[in-house]
Amino acid sequence: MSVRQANDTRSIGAESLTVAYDGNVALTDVTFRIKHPFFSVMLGPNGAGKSTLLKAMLGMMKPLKGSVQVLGFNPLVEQQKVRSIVGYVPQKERVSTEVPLEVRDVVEMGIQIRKGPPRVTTASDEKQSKTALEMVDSVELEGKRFNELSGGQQQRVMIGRALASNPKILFLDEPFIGVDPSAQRGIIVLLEELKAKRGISVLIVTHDFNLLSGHIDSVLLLNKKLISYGPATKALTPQALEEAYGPGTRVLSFGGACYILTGDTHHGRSH
Amino acid sequence: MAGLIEILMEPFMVRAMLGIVFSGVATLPVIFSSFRGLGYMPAEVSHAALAGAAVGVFLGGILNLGIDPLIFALAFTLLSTIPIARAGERAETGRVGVVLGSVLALSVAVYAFIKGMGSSEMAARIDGFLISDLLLLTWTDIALLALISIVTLFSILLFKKEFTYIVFDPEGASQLGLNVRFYTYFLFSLIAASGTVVARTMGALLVHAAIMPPAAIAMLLTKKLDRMLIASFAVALVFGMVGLLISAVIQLPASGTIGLVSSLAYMVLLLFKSRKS
Repeated sequence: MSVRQANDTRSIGAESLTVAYDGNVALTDVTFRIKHPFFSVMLGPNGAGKSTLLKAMLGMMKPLKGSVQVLGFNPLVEQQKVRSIVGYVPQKERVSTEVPLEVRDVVEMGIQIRKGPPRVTTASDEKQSKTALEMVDSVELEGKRFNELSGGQQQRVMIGRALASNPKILFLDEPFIGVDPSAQRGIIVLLEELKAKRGISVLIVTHDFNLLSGHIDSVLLLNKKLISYGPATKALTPQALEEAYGPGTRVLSFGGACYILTGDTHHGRSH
Repeated sequence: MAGLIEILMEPFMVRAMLGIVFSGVATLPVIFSSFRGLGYMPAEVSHAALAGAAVGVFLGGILNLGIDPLIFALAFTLLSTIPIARAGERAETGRVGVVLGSVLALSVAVYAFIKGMGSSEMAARIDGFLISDLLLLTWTDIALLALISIVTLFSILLFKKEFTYIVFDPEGASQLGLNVRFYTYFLFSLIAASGTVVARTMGALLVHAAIMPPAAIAMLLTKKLDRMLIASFAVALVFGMVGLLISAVIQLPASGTIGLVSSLAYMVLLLFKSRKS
């Protein structure tokens, strides 16, 4: 698909995007376009520039070169519009569990900040936050303290916060870290439902592709640049994986999905 | 009893009690910095107050400026928050620690240099910020401290949600549209102002002992933010008054006694809590 449709309101993408972080170039010449609604994963080794690309798409980082489009909006020029259509779930480790907030406070944060001062909670805000908690099957957690929840419950609440302002797209940065396997599967099912029933696009930055394999419809493979993108079976070629992760990376196709095997595979074992 | 009330009604005791109220207000921003592992910040920035006071006393003595050294102390602590807030924006406690250490080193150097240059009267005034005494507060001090405390109190009441959001999840808050940079500088300025208040009432050396225990006790007593803020102020007030009375009865320096009483109370509560659990 052509990436030159600058005002495509039904897709997200980047064109010749180069971004620097702390003075170092983190991503070079990235060009792609994904059609909305999508369920995509951004993949690559540590320091590949995954979070950087996500932040550039949110307008939180200024590109050195090139541009980003989110449903037809440039996040740098129309940051407010992009904020209103994108819900963001940051990495769990960036969230302080020391702050004594209740689950309802966390979800209301997604509504209150968008309102501006004096940020008084209204009955409509309460209703909206309850609806968001219903969407993530967590209404029973409403009065509980956020820092006393399990990793999976906390992640659901953070997704609820992102959903509280009715976004069209969800960006999630490493949502499975510190979450047990059954809760991870629950979150994937939830995200799939959000796309299928509500038409909400989902873009996940993760290290663990295999968890999502068979659920997603496209992959962006990065390592300081965009190595490949498209359906997993096409984008994750042995050459592309080797370019991203180095030698020894294999891809295994099974039941219509593919899985990445990294490390030593010579003795029947892999990681 | 009548004798005690008579002592409490003495102007120097009234000023000391007002000083305790202001120190109680100073514990409020500490609650927020503690959530980010920066509870030690007010104590560190209060050393900038010491350097500011030294410059203020020196310039006042040489140029006869007629500006209270407390103004210089406040200006220096506010200036010191610029590099600290820059490091704190990314919630990097390690980098904040290094910057705080640099502020401390620079402040002590300025303090020692100016103290060495001035007269003994100047040195005594500068030392009033290092080891202060509540009983020596003047009405001018009280007026300035009241102004800083009122601004701090209203800022916390009005922007409590914003401060909570930036310490809870700065990245998420920024994406949602909150001006995280502005509120980080704002909160750090309030912390710096609080450090200045306590440096004047209790002395820069005792800032940590004066404001950390009430905040820490409040965090042990309750898990709700609103109650935590009220408890921190109340604990600072109660132990401040208790310490002041003890110091009056057994002739000890008021500021040190208050710091000791609060710290002991914290340790007893911690012991009680650990035994209970």
